[in-house]
Amino acid sequence: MPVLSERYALRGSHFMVCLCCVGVYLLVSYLPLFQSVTWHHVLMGDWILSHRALPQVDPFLPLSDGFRSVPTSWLSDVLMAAIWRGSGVQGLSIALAVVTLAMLILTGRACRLRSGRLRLALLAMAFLIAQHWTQLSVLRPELLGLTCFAALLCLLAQWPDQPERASVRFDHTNRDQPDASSLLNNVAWTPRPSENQLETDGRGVHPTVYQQAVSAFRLIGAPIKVVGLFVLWANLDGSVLVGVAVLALLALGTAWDVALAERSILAALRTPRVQHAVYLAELAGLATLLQPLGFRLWTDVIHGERGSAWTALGGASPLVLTSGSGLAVAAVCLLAAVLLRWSPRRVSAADVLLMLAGLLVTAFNQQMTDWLAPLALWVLLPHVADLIASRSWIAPKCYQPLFVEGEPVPPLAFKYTLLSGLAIWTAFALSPISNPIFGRGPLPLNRLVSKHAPQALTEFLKKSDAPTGLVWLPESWGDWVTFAGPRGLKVSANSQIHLLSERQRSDILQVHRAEGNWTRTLDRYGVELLIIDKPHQPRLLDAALAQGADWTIRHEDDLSLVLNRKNH
Amino acid sequence: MTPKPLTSTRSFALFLTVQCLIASVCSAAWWMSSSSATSDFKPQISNLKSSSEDRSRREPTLANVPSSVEPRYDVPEVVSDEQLANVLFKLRPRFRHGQPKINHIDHALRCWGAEVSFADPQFVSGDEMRRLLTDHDAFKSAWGDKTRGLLIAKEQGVAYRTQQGDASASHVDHTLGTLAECGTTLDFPIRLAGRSATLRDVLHQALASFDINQAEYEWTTLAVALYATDGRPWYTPEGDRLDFNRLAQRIMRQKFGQGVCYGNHRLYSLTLLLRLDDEKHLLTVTTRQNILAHLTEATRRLKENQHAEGYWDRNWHDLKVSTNDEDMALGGPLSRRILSTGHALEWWAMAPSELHPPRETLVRASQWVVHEIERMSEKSIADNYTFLSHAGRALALWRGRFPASVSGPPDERSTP
Repeated sequence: MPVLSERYALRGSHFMVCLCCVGVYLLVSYLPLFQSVTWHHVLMGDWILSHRALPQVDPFLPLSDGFRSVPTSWLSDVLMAAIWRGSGVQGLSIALAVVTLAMLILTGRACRLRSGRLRLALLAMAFLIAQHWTQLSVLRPELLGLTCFAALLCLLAQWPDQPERASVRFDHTNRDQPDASSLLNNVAWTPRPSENQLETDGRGVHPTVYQQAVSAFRLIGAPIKVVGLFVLWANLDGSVLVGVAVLALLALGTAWDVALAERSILAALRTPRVQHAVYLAELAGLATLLQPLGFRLWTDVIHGERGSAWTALGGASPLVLTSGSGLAVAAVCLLAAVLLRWSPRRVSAADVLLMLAGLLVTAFNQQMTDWLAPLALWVLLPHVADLIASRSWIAPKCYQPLFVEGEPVPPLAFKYTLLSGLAIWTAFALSPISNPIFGRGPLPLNRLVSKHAPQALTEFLKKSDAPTGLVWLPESWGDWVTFAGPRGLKVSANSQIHLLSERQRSDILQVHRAEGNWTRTLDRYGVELLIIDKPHQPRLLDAALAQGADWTIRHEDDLSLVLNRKNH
Repeated sequence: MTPKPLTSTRSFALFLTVQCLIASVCSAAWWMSSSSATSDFKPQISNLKSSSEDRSRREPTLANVPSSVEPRYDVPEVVSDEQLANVLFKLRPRFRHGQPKINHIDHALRCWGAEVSFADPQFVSGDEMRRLLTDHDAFKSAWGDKTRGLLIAKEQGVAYRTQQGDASASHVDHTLGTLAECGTTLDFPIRLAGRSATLRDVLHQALASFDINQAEYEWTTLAVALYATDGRPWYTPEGDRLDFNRLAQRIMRQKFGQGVCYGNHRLYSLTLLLRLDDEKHLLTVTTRQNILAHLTEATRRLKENQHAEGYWDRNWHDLKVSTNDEDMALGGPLSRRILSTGHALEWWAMAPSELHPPRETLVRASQWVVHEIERMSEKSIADNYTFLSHAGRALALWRGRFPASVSGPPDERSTP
C-alpha cells in the first residue's frame, strides 16, 4: 500500500501556521473594501485597457491636468481592472484576500528560513498582521509590491551559501548539535541552503553533498529568479525601488564586512561573494528598467516629480510616534536595541545598513513602515533565534522524523496534515471564492464595500443628470464616486491629491473648513455640485445650509449632502 | 580566519569593466534627464503636436517688444468724432495732486498710452504715469517717504504691491498688463529703492508665482501673451505645465459674471488671445473654437439682457441675478453700469466681427455711455475713473484709434 512521504506529515506548529493563514484569509475575505484608493487603480487599469496606452496625466483628476503622472503600477491596475471586468467587486474582494495571504505566507517563509524556527515565523506573521491591521481592507498595488518584497526576502534567505560554510558538518541525530541558524551565523545576510537541503537527508548534510547542491544551475538560476521577480515587480508597482535599495545595501554591507576582515578594499572587491552581491544588485536595478517608464522611474524620484514612485509610496509624510506606524517602529527599535546588547550573533554591516536606512526612510515617510516591518523581521529574527539557542530558553530545535520510510507508519502520523487539509477546505467553503461552486451569488455591494463609501450618493448621481462642471467633494470619496457614479464625472480631489498644486490643496482645506469666502473659491473652480461628508465636515455643512438661494439642496442621506450651484 | 578565496585577475578586470560601464550609462542617463529634461507629456486639453518639451522652461519664449493689438473698426454710428473728443476731454488724467491712486494711474496709462502728453500742465503725461509705476523715486515724490514702495524686490524678480490700499495696484498683474499694452519693452528699466531691474524681472516674478487657480489671472495671461513669441508651453516651479490653451480653459472655467469687474476682464483677455493667435499661433484649433463659442454665448447674453436705455448692469449675463450691491465700493448703480457697459464695448472693439452683437445693440450701449459721461461732474468722473477709462478707450477703439491719437479740442492735448 503506497504511503505518503514523511515530509507530508505535518507537525502541530505547521497546523498552527495553517490556522493562522486560514484565519487571516477568511477575515480579509469578509472585510468590506476600503472606500478609496482601490477604485482609482481599477479605473486607471480600465482606462489603460480601453486606450491601450498609459495616460500622461491622471484622467480622473481634471485639476491636475498640468502635472505629468504616468502610473508606476500599470500592471497592477490592469490586473485589478481585468478582475473587476470579469468578476465585479466580489472578484476584487477575493483578490485582496488571496494577495494578502500570499504576502503573509511568503513573509512567514522568509522568516522561517532566516530563523530556522517555525514558531518565530508564526510570531513574525502575527506582528506583520498587527502592523498591517488598518490596511487589511485596502487592495492596492503596494500590496503586490509587498508580496514581491517577501518573495525577494525568501530568495535571499535561500541564496547558495559560501564555500567555507560547506565545511560545517550537521548531524541532526545528535540532539546537542546547535540548530542550523547558529551554524550559519558568520555572515548574517549570507543566503543559506534551504531547509530541505538540511533536513531531507536522513543522514545529515555533508560537505560533499552540499557542495554538489551549490551547483552551477543554482548559481545561475538564482539571479534569473531575482531578475524575473524584479521585472514583474517593476511593472506591478514602483516600490521595486525598495527591493533594489535592499540589494544595494546588502552588497555594500558585504563589501564592508569583507574589507574589514581583509583590511583591504581591493581584496574585498576581488572576493566572489562581494562581486556576486554587486552583480545581483545591478541586475535587479537593470531589470527595473524593463517597464514603460524606463529610466524615468528613477529620475522622477530624484527630481521629486509629483507622480513619482516615491509619492506613490506616500511621499513626504513624517512618522508620528503616537500613531500605529510609530508604535510599530518603536517596537522594532526596542527589539533591535535588546538584540544588539544580547545577541551572540555577530551584527553584520548589512544588518546595520538595512536597519538604519529603513528607519531613516520611515522617519520621512511613515507609509514605509509597511516595508520596514518585514525587513526588520528578516534582519532581526536570526539574532532572536540565536539568542534563544544560546540561552537555552527553548530546547534546540532538531528534526526528528515521525517515521522512517519503509517502516510501519505510526497511527495518527498524518493527523495534523488532515487537520490542516480540513482547515483549508473549510476556509475555501466558507469564503466567497467558492460561491460559484456552491451556487451562491456574490455578496451585496453594501457588504463588499466599506459603509463609509457614499453608495446612496452614487445611486443618486447615476439617476440624475450628470453634472458637466466640477464636482467638489471630500478627497476620500473621489475615487469611489468616480468609480460608482456616472461616467465622466469631474471630481475636485481623490486619492491622488498629491498631484494637485499647493494652492489647490490649500483651497480644498479652506472649503473643508468653510473658511473665508469659500463659496467664491468654489466659483473660481467652476463648481457645479458641492458634496459634503456630513459626519466629517460639520462646519462646511452648517455653512452650506446657511447659504441663500445660490445653493440648492439636491440630495441628502445619512452620509452626504449634495448642493447645486445655481446656474447663471 | 580562513583567507577568502579571490577571483582571478581576469574576473576582477571584468568586474571593474562592468562597474565602469554601468556607472557611465547611469551618469549619461542622469545627465540627459537633468540637463535636457525632455518629456513627451501631453495634457488632455492641449493637443500640441510636439512630442518633446523642455521641462526646465520656466517661461515662454519672450520677445523684448510686446505685440501691439490694433483696433480694427471705425464705426461713426457708435460714437461721432465730436462725442469722442468730448468724452476723452473729460477723461484726461488729472493726477497732478499728491498721492494719486495707483489704480487710477494704472488705468489712465492703459487708456492713454505712454506717449501722450497734454498742453495743460495739470494733466500728467503718459511718460510721467509710467515713471510713477516704474521708478521708486517718482513714486516716493508723489506718495511721500512714509508710504511703502509700490515695487517690491522678490526672490524671483520684482513684484507690484497689490490690493493693499490706494498706493498699490488694484488687480494682480494689472500694471504689468498695462505696461505691456502700452508697448513697454522687457528691458525697460525698473527702479526700486536701492536697486534697479527691468520689466523682465517683473514678468519673471509674475510667472514664478503664478498658479493657474489663483483668483486673478487674466492680466498675467494677457501680459504673457503679448510678450510670447509662440505657443510653446512652460512649467511653473511646482512642475505645472502651462500654455495658452490651459490659460484659456482656465479663463472659461468660471461662469459668466464671476471674477473681477463682473467677469469682463476674462472676456477681454480671451479676445486678445484670439487676436494674438492670428499672429503667433498660441492656441490649438479646439481651444480657439471653444473661445469663439464662449464669447458668442457672452454676446448672446449681452444682447438679450441689455437694458432699454442701452446699458448693462452687474447681471449682464443673467437678469435673474439681483443687482443689489454686494460691494458698495463700486459706488452705486451708475458705476456698475458704466463698468459693465464700458468693458463690453471694449472687448467687442477688439473682437472678430463674428462675435459682435447687432449694430443697434452697440449703438445703444455706446450712446448711453457717451451721454452719461457728458453729464458727469468732475468729482463723479474722478470717483469712477477706472471704469470710465475702459469706456473711453472702448469708444476710441470703435473709431479705429487709441485715445492718444484722437484729436481733442484745440490746444488741450498734444500728441507726438
